[in-house]
Amino acid sequence: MFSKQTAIAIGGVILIVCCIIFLSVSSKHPKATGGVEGVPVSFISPFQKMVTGSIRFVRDIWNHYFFLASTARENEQLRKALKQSIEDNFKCSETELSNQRLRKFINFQKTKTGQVIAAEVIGKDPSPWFHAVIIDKGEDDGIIQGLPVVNSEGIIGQVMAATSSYAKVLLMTDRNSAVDSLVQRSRARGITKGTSGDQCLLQYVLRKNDVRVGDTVISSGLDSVYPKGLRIGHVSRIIRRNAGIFQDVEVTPYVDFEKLEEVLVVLNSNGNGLDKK
Amino acid sequence: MIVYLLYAVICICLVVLQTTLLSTVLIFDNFYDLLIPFVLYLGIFRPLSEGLSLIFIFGFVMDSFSGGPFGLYMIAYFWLFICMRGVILFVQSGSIILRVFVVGAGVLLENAIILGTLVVLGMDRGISASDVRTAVLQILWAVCTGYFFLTLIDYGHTKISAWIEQWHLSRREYKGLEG
Repeated sequence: MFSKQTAIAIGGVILIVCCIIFLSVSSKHPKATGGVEGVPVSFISPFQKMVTGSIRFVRDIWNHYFFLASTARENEQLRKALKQSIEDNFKCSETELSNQRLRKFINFQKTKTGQVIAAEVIGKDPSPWFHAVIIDKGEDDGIIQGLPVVNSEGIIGQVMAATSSYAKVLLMTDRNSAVDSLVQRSRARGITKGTSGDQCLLQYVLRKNDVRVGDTVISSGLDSVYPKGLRIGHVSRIIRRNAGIFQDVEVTPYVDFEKLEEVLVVLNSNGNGLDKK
Repeated sequence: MIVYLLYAVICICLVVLQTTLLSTVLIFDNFYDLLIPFVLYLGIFRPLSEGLSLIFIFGFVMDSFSGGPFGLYMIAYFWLFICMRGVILFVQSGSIILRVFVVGAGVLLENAIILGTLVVLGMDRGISASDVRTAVLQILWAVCTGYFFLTLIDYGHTKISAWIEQWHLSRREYKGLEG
């Protein structure tokens, strides 16, 4: 009925449609695979841990023994920074105390800081198109899908999948990632989304809202994943188009994702993650 | 069976290399997917059944470590494999031109599939300048190094096949002597 070429063309189109349907389902329902993707992670991650450990060991030797001169200079700078930090810390303690008094006064519940668990980054995403890392803690340590991951500089991302000993963390800079956010100064609200690069984009901020370059962006706590008040980044550019009710704001994350080594997984955050047990 | 085991070991080594060492060295920040030359090699030189099963295993492993939708690498490798089987109908498999440009073309196709999927599924607004830059750098790396990778894989496979053959022969001789 059909010629060979027509049959090949029809077969090709059907295959393409099947591929799109499959990817569409798997992207919308990450659990549809039943955790089968955890098998290679459990098997290969010990090797990753070994190689990453070796790389760090060599780098540490280099840093400790061959860069003592620069370390002395750095030490001097750090001492100065520490003095400044002690001063800032004192001011913060004062602010914290007055904050507590005021919260008590207006009957606010204290923002709970969740129990955290430290983990080491042992591997990164194999492609430059997606931003994910593998950490050396898993379900045995209480990690479940959806838990927020942070460090002292701010938000890192969210647990995407977990095996018994390892977990995959989707970084905030990935295009599939989104955080409900606030501009700290003006309290303008928006969604911080990852892009293809190292920057993030604060979307759905109303044009009338006051946003300036240098403003700090924090998590709003309304997405049920990230606790309120975690630092995300600072505003580096504002894009106002001629039409539309929103403005796009480019956000540079505080976390240096290139040098990510240790992270903290918040176990009992306010949001409790996507997968409540 | 030994060939499958060998490919599994190579796959593990390459995935570990890509996710640990390459990501820490700045110059290799935009290096291409190292499994592409293997997928292309399987498409050009290996039988359909052997190649098809291996590319699905490669894709499955890559999908497990990637932050993208599950199945994306399996599909990308499948299309690379299919296209390669189509190309060798018209071009000689031993051609130097094929070896020089095929990895670059493979990287281009994989990137087109990944970015196309992201746009079709609505995960991305469109292809940005940084996407184009990354893709171009990857293709340049592939054109510069792809030929050597393919030759190395071919050489390694030929040597190992010869060793396996030799081992089987010596085993048969030993059994013959015992009998």
